[in-house]
Amino acid sequence: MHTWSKRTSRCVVVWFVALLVLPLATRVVGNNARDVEGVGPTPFPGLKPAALLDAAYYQALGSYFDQHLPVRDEAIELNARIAMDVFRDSPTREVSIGNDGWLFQRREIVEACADRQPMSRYVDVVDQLVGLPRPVTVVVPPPKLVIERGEFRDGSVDSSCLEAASAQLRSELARPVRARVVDAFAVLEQSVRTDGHAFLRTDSHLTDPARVQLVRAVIETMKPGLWDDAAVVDSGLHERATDLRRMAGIGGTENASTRLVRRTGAALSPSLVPGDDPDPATVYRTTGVAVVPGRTLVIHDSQFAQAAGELVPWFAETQFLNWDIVADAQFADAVNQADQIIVETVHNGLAGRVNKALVDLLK
Amino acid sequence: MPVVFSSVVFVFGFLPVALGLYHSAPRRHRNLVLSLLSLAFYVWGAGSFVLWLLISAAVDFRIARAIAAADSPSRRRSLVAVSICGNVTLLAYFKYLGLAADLFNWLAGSVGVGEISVGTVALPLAISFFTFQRMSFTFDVANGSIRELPTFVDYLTFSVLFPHLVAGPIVRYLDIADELGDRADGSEQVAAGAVRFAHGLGKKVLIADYLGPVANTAFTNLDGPASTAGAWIGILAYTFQLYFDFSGYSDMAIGLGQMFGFTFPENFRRPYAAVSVTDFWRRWHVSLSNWFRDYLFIPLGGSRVGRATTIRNIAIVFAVTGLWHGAALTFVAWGCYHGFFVILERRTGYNRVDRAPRSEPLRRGVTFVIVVIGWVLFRASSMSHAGNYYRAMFSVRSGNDHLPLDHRTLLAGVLAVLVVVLPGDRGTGRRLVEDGGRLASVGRLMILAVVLPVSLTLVAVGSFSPFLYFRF
Repeated sequence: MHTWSKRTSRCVVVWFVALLVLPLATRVVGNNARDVEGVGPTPFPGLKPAALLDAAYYQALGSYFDQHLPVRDEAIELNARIAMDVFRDSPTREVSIGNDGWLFQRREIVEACADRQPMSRYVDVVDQLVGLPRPVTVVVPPPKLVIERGEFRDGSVDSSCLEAASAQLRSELARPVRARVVDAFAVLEQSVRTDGHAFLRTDSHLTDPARVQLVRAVIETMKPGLWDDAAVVDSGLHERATDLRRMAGIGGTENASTRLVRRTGAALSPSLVPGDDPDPATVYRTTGVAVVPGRTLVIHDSQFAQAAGELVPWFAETQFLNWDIVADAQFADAVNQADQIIVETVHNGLAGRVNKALVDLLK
Repeated sequence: MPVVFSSVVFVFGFLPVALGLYHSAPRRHRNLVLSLLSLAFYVWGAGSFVLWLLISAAVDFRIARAIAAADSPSRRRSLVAVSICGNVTLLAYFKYLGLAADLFNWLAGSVGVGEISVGTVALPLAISFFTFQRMSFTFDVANGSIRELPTFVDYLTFSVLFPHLVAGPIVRYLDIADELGDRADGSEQVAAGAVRFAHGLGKKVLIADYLGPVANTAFTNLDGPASTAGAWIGILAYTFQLYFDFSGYSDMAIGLGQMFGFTFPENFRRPYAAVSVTDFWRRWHVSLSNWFRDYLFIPLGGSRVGRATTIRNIAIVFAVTGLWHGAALTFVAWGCYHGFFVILERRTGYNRVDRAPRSEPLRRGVTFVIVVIGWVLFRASSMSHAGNYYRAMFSVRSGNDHLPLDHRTLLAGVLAVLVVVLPGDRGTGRRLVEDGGRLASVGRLMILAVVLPVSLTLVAVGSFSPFLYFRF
């Protein structure tokens, strides 16, 4: 049996214990964990003597401890850097890496390839929406990989099923009978031809120019002739935090050109600046310019959340509801008070969200 | 959810606090401190079941004292029966009631009788481990192996000691009886334990956790993998994941035991280097195999009772071994599968380790394939799932299983294969702690200077679960 000398043993013990207490020690000297998940840190569950025998209480404590571990964010970034720079791997199962720093959301591919949302279901849902007596405009932004396929190189993922599914969806949506479906595929492909790309390199969302083109397509679908190119404003390059970098754990920002829609003469009440998230409890009113009359309800995903401030100036009244966070009662009220509806949903969320209950509600 | 040794809470919270409290406590109170720390560890994962753990320990201890004090063999036998029946009944209720109801309903359905419903029974954390540990104590008191009974605090320390409480090794009282009274727990033991712990942590987070997603993906589809290659890659990934996960956990447990002055029995002896299935069971989950040998196989008559009875005894032991691992038919089938080969080897003489040493590589290969095929039963969620998986393995299919085979996973796979095919019978963790010489010294240095910091980094990263749409 090997034995170390007392001195060596003590050195080993000091080293071992130092590694264990290092994170907490750094907290003492001021390191505080950042919100790397992006959903807000788990709150401290409190000291509850009554819950001392409750396993759920300890789970909450454990989550708090996990997320508030000092130097955790540095560890996450270090791990991500090593994965990407040394091994050329994605640091997480959620993100696929592409050429030249491009990042893609892996779930889009896996879900399409698992055939959980068959095409007939997509088309059926869109038909039900478009066929309703109340005017509904449908926008389905295609997956990033489909539009930016040239930048994808993850050999461990077969993306052909996603591309096939998207192509089929596009051909279905493009039929003349579906006149109120905005052809987001065509809009974004045009954006690629004009500006090089339609999606941000390290974000799951559209570039500003592509998003503005999509907003324009929606306005022109709802009231032809209303759109005014003079409302488009370029303001150079800006750094922006991106979601796929965050997902990968590397944090940081991406340099991207900024293009906004600012309608001269439009008075918004309350005001909503482009880029700000809309408040679901607020009806935004626009005066001073020609607009789409009546109240427009925008049931949106994240692409149109970013476009809220650019949509509002084109409608007399606008209300925004996000698929994921709206309560049923609020949803029903908003639908009943709307004169027309815009539905925006990302491709992989379509069938899961637009279900029969919603269609019944819209009637 | 139990507190696993590779979690942030354990590594950066519980362990430093436990080491600090234990080593700063007066020597005469250290068992009490360890018991309280172990109960706190159990509460964290099991909540109010800790009361049940305490009460059942007190009852078992009281019965053991009565057995020791019994003045007649018949009274001793009665008390042993009471204790064992109590433990087995509780284990059966918590762990196997659902399976029994399913079997009953299956049989009832075939003869047109109505079904029964037992609802959901919450399973106390680690019940299989601590029940077996306590039963071994009762047996050993009854057969006179334990002549001097411990105090209740020492008994509690033995039965709830957190390093072995949740996933073994199954420690018997006699393994640590002397150390419960007086043990060396200075810096030499802590240092040696730290190396062993770090080695186990590395096996878990650097190898097992990378191979896990490959196996999980291959077993996701209940209809079986889409391709033959995917099926074999998936089960090989699971084969290595299971070994590095479980043996890594045992290494961590043994290392933690050392840090507190205890020497736990070894649980793995390079099982994938076995030359027969019989040999495999001398190397895989050794503490469980020994338990069944001493407290089930030998009491049934062992191998000295004629050929037919020996075969019956082996069949019973392996069926129960399977059942011990989980309350599902797949586990029973897995146990019977191994039992079949052990019986076959016994009948043919293939189980003799020293037979034809020149054919050892071939025998290792054959044994490895048999074990790998058996793991399908162990991992599958049902018998039909296992059947579908076998169909994928033994037919020619092509398709894309989307296995997450990135570079780090492939590296983990190569490391896993290397560690398994290295010569010798002792695992690397044991060699690192026991061996002198330059190679072992370099190994220890690498473990402490590289593997430990990297593993701790991955532990901190392990809880990272970002949301895409962070704006909402």
